[in-house]
Amino acid sequence: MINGIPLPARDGPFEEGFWAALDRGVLAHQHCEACATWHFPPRWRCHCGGALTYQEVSGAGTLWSWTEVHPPVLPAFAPFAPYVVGLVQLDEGEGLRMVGNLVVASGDPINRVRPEQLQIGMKVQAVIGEIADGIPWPSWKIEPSIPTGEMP
Amino acid sequence: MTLSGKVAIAGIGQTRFGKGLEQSERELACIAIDAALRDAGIEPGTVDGLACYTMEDTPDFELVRDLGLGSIHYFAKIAHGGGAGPGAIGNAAMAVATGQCRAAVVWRARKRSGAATRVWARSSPVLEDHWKWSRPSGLLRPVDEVAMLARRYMHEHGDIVPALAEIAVTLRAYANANPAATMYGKQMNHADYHDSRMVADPLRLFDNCLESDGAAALVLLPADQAGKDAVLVEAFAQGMVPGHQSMSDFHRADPLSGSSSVTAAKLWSMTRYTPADVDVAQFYDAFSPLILFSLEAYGFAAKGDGTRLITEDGIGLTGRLPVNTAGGSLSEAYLHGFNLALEAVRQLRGEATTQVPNARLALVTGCDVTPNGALLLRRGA
Repeated sequence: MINGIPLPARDGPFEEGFWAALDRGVLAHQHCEACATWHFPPRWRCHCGGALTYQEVSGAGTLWSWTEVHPPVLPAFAPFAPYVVGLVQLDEGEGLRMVGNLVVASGDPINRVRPEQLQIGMKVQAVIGEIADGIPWPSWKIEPSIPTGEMP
Repeated sequence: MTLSGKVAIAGIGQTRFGKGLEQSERELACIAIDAALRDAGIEPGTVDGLACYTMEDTPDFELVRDLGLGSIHYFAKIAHGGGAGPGAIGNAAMAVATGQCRAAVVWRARKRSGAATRVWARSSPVLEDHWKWSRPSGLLRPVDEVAMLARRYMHEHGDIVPALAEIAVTLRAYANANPAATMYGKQMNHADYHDSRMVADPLRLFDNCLESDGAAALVLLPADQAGKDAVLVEAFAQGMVPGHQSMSDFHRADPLSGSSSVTAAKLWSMTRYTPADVDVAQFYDAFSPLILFSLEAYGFAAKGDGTRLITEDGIGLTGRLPVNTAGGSLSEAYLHGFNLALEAVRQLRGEATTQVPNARLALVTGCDVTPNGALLLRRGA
């Protein structure tokens, strides 16, 4: 947890199921029964017109991209800079991606993982923790020993 | 029915560009608009249309009072920051073409040279908008968001760093020939680029636009009321690809093919010209990779081949496509891209500081990673 970071409002439209799942310690995203498409960020309905329900996802994904953020940054993040931020492609669907911090073990600080440990396409696994009091959010545990060997 | 040839950009005006200018944004707007009206040769009282960016802080009615403009019959603001410039001009052009107004002013005034004025630095403690999905993880600044796409591009298509360096150095050389540019007189070579500090890996300081104070404006008139050698709007398009999310456009199947690709398809569908006909391009360049992405989106290079166009074919005066010939946002000034439109007009008038010989067709684009727009301008005679 880092004090003083900008926090996500939890009362946005169509988000209730997303936060409720995180509160239970699991990751869920909207899924369309009609066309089997997964969606994030939350929306009213599927582009096919189908209704969406929140379904748990595996939390398994691959690293789609990353950057290392150098100063100047917001004051709350300054003690940690430079730090890596990842963009993760979840296994459930193309385009189902989330921004998050990369860790080796749950609870690691956001600057624990270094760029030289990273390879685009490497496997990652969601670990749900709190980024601030009452705000659960997934970090992504890297598994550097198991590269996928192919471009996701 | 299209816009082709119906509307002229009859006047342009700008203030001094730089850091810590004394005037307020409102006074800067007045100076730029007044210069544009004099350049167009029309009286302030004849202006009956106004368009700007939603991020413009100066109210339009204050400018009507300040400048003595006439009764206003068209007023509009176009959204999406750096994506808005061509949209503001194009929407005003549509109003002029349909008779909703007869003389329109489009402007951008900005005082952004102070670090405290950075939009990201004023981030709300609780995020209600789509930035809730990325900022809490420390992806804070526009450059971080572009870096994410740049690294993915490198993974799919190969190294882009030599091309980014070439962009920065080329635009600096253009600025060195442009006395109005912030970086006039300040040289930069490839070693300087590589020595600049990392900001969001792989992007360095010189991949970032300037932080500028200044204003720019232009005047639109019906083509038949401008001179026969006036600069004409040939085509205009806006674009927002389904699934798009401004700046952090990460949640579509292929984020490397963004809103510019649909803007470009629409633009080229509305004109007989093609990318091969373009003599000079002004690509929105808050960050250098946006030039690379835009070259491909607008059809000047195949996907993945933009780096070769930049490093081998060239974007300098003698290259295949001269780009951002006044120095652009990287080395002239950062006015949300509005100065790029003025440079396109100077090129088509033959008045640019680095003049492309006999330039007849110019492309102006908005920000590649937001909903955006583009203008194709041509010389009338």
